[in-house]
Amino acid sequence: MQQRKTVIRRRENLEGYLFIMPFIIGFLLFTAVPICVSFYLSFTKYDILSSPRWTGLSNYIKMFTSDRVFWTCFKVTLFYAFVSVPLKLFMSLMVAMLLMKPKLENGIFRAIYYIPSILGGSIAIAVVWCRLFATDGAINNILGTLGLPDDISWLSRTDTAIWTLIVLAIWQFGSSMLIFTSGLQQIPTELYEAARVDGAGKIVQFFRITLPMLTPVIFFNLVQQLINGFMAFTSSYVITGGAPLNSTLFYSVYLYQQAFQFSKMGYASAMAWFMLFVVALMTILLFKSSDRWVFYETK
Amino acid sequence: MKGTKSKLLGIAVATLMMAETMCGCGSAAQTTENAAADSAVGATAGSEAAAEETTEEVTSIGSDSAQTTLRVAWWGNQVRNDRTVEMLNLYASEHPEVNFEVEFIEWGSYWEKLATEAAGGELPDIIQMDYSYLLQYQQKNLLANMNEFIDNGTIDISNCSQSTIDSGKVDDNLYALCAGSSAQCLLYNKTVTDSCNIEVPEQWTWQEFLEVAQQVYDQTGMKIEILSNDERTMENLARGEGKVLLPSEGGALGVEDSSIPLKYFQLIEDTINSDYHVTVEELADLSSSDQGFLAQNKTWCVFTYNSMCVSVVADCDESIEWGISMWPSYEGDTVQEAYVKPSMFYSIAETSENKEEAAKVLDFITNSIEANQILLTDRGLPVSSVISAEIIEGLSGIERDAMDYIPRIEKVATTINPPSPSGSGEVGALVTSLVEQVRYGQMSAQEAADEFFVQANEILQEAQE
Repeated sequence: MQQRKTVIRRRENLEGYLFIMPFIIGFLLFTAVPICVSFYLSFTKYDILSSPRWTGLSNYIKMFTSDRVFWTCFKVTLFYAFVSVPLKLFMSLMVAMLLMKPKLENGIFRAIYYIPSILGGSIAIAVVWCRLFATDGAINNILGTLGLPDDISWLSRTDTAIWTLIVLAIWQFGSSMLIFTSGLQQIPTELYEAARVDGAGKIVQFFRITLPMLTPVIFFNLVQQLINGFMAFTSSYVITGGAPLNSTLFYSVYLYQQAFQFSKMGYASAMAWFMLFVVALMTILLFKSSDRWVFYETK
Repeated sequence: MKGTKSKLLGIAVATLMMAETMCGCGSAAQTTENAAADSAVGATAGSEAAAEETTEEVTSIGSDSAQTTLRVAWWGNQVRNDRTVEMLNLYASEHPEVNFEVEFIEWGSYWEKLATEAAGGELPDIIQMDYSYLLQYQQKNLLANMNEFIDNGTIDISNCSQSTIDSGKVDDNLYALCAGSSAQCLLYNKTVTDSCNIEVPEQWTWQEFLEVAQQVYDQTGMKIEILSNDERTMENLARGEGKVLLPSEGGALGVEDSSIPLKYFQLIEDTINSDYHVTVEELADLSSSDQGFLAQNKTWCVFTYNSMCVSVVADCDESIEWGISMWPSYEGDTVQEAYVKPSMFYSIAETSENKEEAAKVLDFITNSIEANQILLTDRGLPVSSVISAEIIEGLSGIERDAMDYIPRIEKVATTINPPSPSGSGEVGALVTSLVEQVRYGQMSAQEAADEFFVQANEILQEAQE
């Protein structure tokens, strides 16, 4: 009896593995193997045309000690991620709350607000963004009609250029908005009713019920968006090209330049691994901190 | 229990995300291949690379039943794509045994794609090659030696000048067949200079040029732009002293100190501080405009190549009359810096299985008048003297002026620099970045020159290792 059960279980396991085989094969071929190769390449000098040559730690040493642009783009990326992500989460939470009531038009609005998330990474939007923030572009026009200075050269100033990219990132709040929406819907309405009976106003309800109940969702969004923020590429590459003075040069764009413009695949691989290390570290810290501020109802 | 479960789940999610991060870079890079092309707004007319943008396309030409399929790849703009496809169509109709698969793409992505194909041993049979990449590809044994096709007469070069053919040789072996010649030129708005009563000489000194720039600005408000996108101007300043800025070998700059870089960065500093040069704001906004400075009537001249003139003026007002002169020289120069350059080449891949057929196509491109009547002067002045004479005859307007410029400059031109070493692309990027810092007032010309001298030597040294 016992034996037959294990046979059945084994067969079930086999079937299960068969079902996930397509993913596993794809993952091994297109993710796991390239990752290992890139780790090896990070210790070599490799220009694609000739075979890689072992150079030990020299890529890493150069990266940390003598490449000033490396640290510049690292700082730019940190700034971009840490500024754009909280703003984006705030924005998406606000919109999600506005569109909470299950009315038809709210569904339509949610769909409309989601569109930027689909379009946002596209080249067309990047080009539109260039036009919007040009000196004679729409943003300055609007500022002009409001009686504000209308000759700001957004893209040529080191202090403003990065903000055009941050605004673009915030604008793409759709996916985190959807996650917030479902999170909000999970909060039991009894809690609000009880609070109302106790005489709590809307603001108190938000801080005492909505926010605590939402922390798991905020945590999830934060981790996901932060990782996305570190990986950002298109906007910097297309809109500003890193200019002016590398003030908008994202890490991934610099990595791309090293890899494909200067054919330094080894160096670029080393950069990729450092980025992975930073992202992993950031994620671990977030998880560690989550005990203090993330509230799981089930615990 | 629940707590550990959710933690485990959390860790699983995090691992997955990290995996995504790693592939993220790869997929981002792929999407940008087209990104670079699509973002093509506001072509900086000065740079061949920037002015030629199209999306990548793969097209099949000729009958499906042909025995031999040749893959042909080039970079270029829409005009070149249309003309080249039409020319190959003509060849395929005359030679039904051959058909073509063509790949065309803009300059930047072209070399990325080619490098990837080279790594996979999948280079196209016929490759449009550039002088700056020739050495790199030849040294990696990726290009076929074409001497045998010259010797057995498959490619007829009897009407081509020896120096033109030699420019595609490495150690006496022909690896690249010149597709046309071009030369640096200053294209200027003659309507404007005439209205200011300025007679533009064949070649100015920089000082004279800048004085005129001031004059034109005072009278019309139109400005100039000194190129920042690569090392060419600096290279010319070195040529004027009889030096080669980026020698093929040695892993170092061909200048002993920062005096020549200083000449260049001083020029950048002086002009950006003047009112007759476009401002950094205008330069930043250029990327968002679909017209260059010249078409916007913001500048009255542009540093470019004669083969680019036609596409540069295509966006401009048709009533404007254009003039073409040489790039300025530096006061006290001992050597004429102007030179005639093979605008581009055709190479045959060493891995190609149809080298003979590919060579026949190259002969057709070089010697067929019908082919060249389609191609015209898009790749520069045709290399065969018989063909070029006939082609020039049929041209008019700016297209003719641009081609007549070659014989004009050939009278004074000196020999072209040897092909640049690997690492020169990065040196070019260094120049661009330093120019930006000078223009934003973050560095003085002297600081930029010193920095350039140290860093460029490091880059070249490292590339050599």
